[in-house]
Amino acid sequence: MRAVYIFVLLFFSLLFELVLGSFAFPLFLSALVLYYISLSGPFRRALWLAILFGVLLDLIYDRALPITAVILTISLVVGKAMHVKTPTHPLETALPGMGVALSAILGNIVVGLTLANQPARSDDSFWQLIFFGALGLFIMPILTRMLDKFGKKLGLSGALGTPKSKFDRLRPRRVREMQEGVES
Amino acid sequence: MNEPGKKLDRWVFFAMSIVLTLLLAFAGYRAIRRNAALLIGDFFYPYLALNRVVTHSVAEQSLWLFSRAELISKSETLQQENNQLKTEKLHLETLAEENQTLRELAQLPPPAKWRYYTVQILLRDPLFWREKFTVEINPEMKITPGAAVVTPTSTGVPALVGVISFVGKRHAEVETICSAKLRVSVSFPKGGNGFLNAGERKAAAGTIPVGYIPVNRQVAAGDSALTTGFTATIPPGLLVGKLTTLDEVDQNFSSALHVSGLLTPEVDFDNLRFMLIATPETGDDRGANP
Repeated sequence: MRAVYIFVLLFFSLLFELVLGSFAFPLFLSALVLYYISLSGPFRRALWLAILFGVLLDLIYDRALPITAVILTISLVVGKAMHVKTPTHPLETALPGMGVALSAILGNIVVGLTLANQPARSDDSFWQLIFFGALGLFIMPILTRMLDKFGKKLGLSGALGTPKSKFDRLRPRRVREMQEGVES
Repeated sequence: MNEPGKKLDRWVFFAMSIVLTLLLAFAGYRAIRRNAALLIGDFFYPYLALNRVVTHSVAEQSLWLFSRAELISKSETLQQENNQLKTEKLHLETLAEENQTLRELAQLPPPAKWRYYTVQILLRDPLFWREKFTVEINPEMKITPGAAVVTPTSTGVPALVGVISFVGKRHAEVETICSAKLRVSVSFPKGGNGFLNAGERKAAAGTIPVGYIPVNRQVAAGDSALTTGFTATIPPGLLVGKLTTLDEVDQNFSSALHVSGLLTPEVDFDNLRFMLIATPETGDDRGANP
């Protein structure tokens, strides 16, 4: 069931990417979806999926190099590096979401400056970074909440972990007490 | 309990396998790219066509916003335009007949005839926005790689967009004049030729480099560049763009034979939707449709 759910998620994000790409919107939603998949399951699986997804997208666009596979892998690693632990609240995914979106857009800009014959204007790239970075910050928590809800309806575990009980969090540290008659 | 050394080994192994996979994916990608793009393009056709269907439906729905009187006035304007075009077509047909008679009298070979097919953009790559795109084609169209893609400019003059690089069953890929891969010869009205995407200049945003323009010709910035017709699949006389920058050479101090420049394309690449694909008519075509 989980495999079907992941396949459907990736398929729709691919379609979304293709439709929006025709209006010159750059790639970043699929990067966020892949980051969600990395949160809801093993990170390694998400990495393999990122490579496969990137190669498929590059094949559809008939690009000379599989650049999207590299961009998606890097953005996924950036997201993981920004938040290593399992998030317990949707808002915890906001900053990594911004990191993922920023690295995906930055990858696009680097490709545009190095591989494209028509270089993009640098001031446009700057505004793109600000806008899409902020969008990633807002979209990722919403996406996590939404996809977790769908996942739960299908009986799958979500990306958000259960928060530690109050008792666990407030448990006092063990303090070595001074024994009578023993000088430290 | 996991030992720290083993955990590190596992991570090193994982990193190495990722690198190896990327390497293999790269090699495989380069090997199967062409065939896979054809296969995938046709497989994904219904989904790629989604964009076109949505745009069409929105455009059709927007007609409901007009009142009946507005629609009548629009249709009358279109009818007038059609009548005008019909008259112009008749005039052009007379001229073509005259041209044919004159050619026969002068014993000149008949001019090349072109067949035009209307196509619409199916897919555009946001990373290489101005360099290539995919168009939807009908399997009955006899389109071959190398065919010219043309669009009318705001002034109504046909301009060259690019050239078909490969053809699938339902889609074809267009390499535009902004792509570094496309080398097309252009001519200038005052004399002299040049080559797109060649020479010493590098493309700046919104411009295309033109090279190998002979020094001894009277080419100047502001001149229009047209297709030469040297390539059998590209009709001659199509507008390509305007020369905005041209290297200056003092012939007293330089032995350079060619100069380079930058050309601003006539086509608005951001607002492309419908285009024409020009294919030369063969003898069989003429027999089928006289």
